[in-house]
Amino acid sequence: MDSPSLAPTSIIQGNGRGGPPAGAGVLRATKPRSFWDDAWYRFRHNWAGMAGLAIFVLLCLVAIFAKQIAPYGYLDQDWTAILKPPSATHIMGTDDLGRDVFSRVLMGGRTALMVATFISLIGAIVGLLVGAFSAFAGGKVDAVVVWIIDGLMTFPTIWLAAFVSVSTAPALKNLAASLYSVTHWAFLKNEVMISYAVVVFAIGMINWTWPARLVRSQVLSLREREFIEATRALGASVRWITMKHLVPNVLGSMIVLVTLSFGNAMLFEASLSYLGIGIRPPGASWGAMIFQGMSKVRTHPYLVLAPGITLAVVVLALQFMGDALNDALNPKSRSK
Amino acid sequence: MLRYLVRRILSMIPLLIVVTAFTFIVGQYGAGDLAAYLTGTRGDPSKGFDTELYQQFRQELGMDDPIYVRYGHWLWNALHGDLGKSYVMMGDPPVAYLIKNAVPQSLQLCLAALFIVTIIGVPLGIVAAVFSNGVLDRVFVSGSSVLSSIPSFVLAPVAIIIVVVRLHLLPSVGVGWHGLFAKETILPAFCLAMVGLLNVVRTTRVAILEVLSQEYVRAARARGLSERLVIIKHVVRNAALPVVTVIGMTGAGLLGATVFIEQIFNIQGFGMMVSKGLQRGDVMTVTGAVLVSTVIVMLFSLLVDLLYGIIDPRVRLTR
Amino acid sequence: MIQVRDGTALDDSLVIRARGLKTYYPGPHKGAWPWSGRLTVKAVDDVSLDIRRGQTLGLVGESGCGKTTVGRSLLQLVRPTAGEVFFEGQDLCKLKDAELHPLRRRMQIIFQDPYASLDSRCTIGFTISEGLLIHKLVPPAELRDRVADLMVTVGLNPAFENRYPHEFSGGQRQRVGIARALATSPTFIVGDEPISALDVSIQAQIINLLRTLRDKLNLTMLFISHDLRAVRYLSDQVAVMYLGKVAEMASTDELFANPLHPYTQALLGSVPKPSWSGVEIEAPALSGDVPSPINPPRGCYFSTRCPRVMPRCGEAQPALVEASPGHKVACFLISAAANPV
Repeated sequence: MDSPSLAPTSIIQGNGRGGPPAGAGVLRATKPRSFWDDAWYRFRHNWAGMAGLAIFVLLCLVAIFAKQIAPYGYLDQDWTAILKPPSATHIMGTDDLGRDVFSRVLMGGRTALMVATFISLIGAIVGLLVGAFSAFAGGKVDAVVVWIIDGLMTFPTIWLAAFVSVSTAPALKNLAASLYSVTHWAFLKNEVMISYAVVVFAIGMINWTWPARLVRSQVLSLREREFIEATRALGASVRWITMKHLVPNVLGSMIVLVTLSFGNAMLFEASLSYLGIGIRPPGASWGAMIFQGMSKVRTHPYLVLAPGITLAVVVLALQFMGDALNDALNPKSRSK
Repeated sequence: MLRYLVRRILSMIPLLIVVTAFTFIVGQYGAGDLAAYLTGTRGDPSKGFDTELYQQFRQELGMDDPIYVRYGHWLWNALHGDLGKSYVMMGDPPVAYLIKNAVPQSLQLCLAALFIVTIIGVPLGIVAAVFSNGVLDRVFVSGSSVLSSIPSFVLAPVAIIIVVVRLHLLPSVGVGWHGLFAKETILPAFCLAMVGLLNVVRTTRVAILEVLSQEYVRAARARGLSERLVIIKHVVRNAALPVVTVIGMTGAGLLGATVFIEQIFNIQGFGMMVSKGLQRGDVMTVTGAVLVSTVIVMLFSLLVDLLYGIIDPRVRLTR
Repeated sequence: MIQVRDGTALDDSLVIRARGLKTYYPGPHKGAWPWSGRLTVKAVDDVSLDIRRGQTLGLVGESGCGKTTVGRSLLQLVRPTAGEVFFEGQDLCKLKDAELHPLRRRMQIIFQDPYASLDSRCTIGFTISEGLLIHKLVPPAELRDRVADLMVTVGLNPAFENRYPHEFSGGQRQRVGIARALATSPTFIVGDEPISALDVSIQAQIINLLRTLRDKLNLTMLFISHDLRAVRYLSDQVAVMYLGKVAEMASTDELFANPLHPYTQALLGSVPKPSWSGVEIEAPALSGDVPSPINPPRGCYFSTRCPRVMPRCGEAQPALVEASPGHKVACFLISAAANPV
């Protein structure tokens, strides 16, 4: 049965392309660079991404220590300094109520960060669950989910968020009131707090579609990959496959998506507040500040420019950070 | 072809029903009791809360019916061009009338913006792809990324300050709509166009890069065709498909952004109607606007699909 | 010799016994509408085979003939539409997924593509030990030693256990795939074209590795390949498949010496003039394409390409009959002569 063309060789010897003979453990393997080390290396060498990260970290610090950094209280009115242009005492000027714009921008950062954190967390969790469920369920369930996502995505999202925000605000307020009667937690009576909740809810309702779609398509394509079948052949449970293979493989894309959706959520919050249906007046929001400044934009442009440029810079920073993360974590999908 | 058209249009109906049912039901429940609101604002304040009047309003609005019956009524009337009345505005104007007066301005504005984003975005994308990884590529991509990331309610006032107030390049923005070709339209259309710029540039760039790496392009180069001829003859035509898709998808985003642009530039369009309706809690107006905008977006995507067939004869419209 | 006729008591040395195995996939829609019914793709259509302990069955055929699906169906990675698969006397088709999990330890698969079959985010050490971890076969303290043993067995340097697949060549990756399959000490292994994605120079090494391991560990194997030389080198029995059906089945020596089915003759003829075979087969090279399994031809599936086609072939399907002891053929040329119906 032996065929001369396949000269039997000792199996232990040749091992692919010039590897050392096995068992000769003298050759210490160099420390392998893991996938994450490699990604960090690539991210570190992307200046736009690093700049974005720096700005984002700065924003987080500023948001946390807003009260300590702000030179004035964000609600303090100074009737002797109304609509004063930027100066040494008020570096971003004052608004029509004599409030320090810089202090308000700092507090607006806190609002934006808080709201965006909740929204992107909700979006990531709901998206992950819906996307994975849809992909695993397949068939008609999957078709319906995809159809809903497509439907939501063809629609101008900001309108839908605005609409949900307007029409659920009274209901949420009632809910908070009835909760208060049971628990007596003070924040349930706080109008600003409730408006936070409304914004988070409204945008969260819309913002899960991107992660859901991503997770679904990734799970679908991963499920067809041979290494998943190999794990199945080993006798692994669905849970094992999910935890050890699906999640690590989807994680990279999820990180990118959460970063991008974080910026998106900030934009949405500012947009709703700009339209007057987001954060309620005593709360500080960049969007609301821009709206209030708009009527005086010709005479006092700094009222719009200060929060506007801050918002733009932060959104851009997150955009660049997301792009850099994408390049670092998904080297194959890099747009050349 | 005709069969495909019929199928496409039929497949839109369920989505339309779900979207409108969602907005109708959420609106009716969320916005509180409209009859109570009307009793409060229209009734005689000296009499206190007029229960009789309240019942009358409930009757008139059909609020005693179950929600699906009310939705059915609304949908049936909507098919006949009646979207109900805006009770929040003076004189209870019909919503359909408001929409009819608002939509043309917004459509023209969106078309102008779509035109601008195409004639700017596509060439930028092509140049970026041809010089990929060069300086021009980076400048164009990050430049359009900056322009698209700035929200339109920041970009527009900045543009007004620079172009109108400082440089006096364009006339001050008046009130209302001056027509598609008026100088006053340039700035709002431009600001609106920037919303979709990055998408168009990116997609064009990737599509062109894709085609540039294909065999037939290499063959054309090998035949000695000049680089410019190669790009015009082979690359642009073959990259057109994804680009058209993205331009089509940009349409919905632009319509959404009119909410800000129209308010800032004082254009009495669809976006202005929606933003005012939202601020006033005018549920009927917003629900009607949702229906109309969904129809517009769907028709637009249908148009894009048909355009596919013209550009690429391989796409048989029978899927 | 391989056949145990229906009715005979199940031999203890029979590791795999498949009867009437059918695996159908839903195909494209019949009409343009989403609710119009679907066509079925008969990837595997009524296949019966037996593999004795320590023996290797080679499965050959052109790409798309369903040989990969046979392997997947035997292991229940794809649930067969109908039929029985006995693994060591247990009908796998009747078991639920959860009941299958513990059994999977004893039946493993080596995949074709050494790139796609390894998770690029896991070290090869983890990949090899995964089966041990899932079935908790080894105490954690001994895991490293066991992995090192396995790596040495397949010819890999154990120092590389913390490396990622992208740092290895195709041949080395395939060794990782073999180590993973061997980790749980299986009795039955499906080799799903394990060499066809490799460089020719590496193929011989992997084939030899498989052969040595099989003999050393007394493995039972299903070796799927379209490389006739490899099949001949490794197999005790060979089955030739065409469009989801077995066309011919015999011991390796018998099949290569005396191919009866025109398809087998054509396949053997398509091997570049075999100096090793010592057999001269006069068979024309195959012309035309494999018909679609969605819409197979009437009668004998091979009739559209058969150089010796008869009128009868377009009317009925020939049954798999025994031409000589242990040599089964599904062809009217043979069945007409052997036992006229």
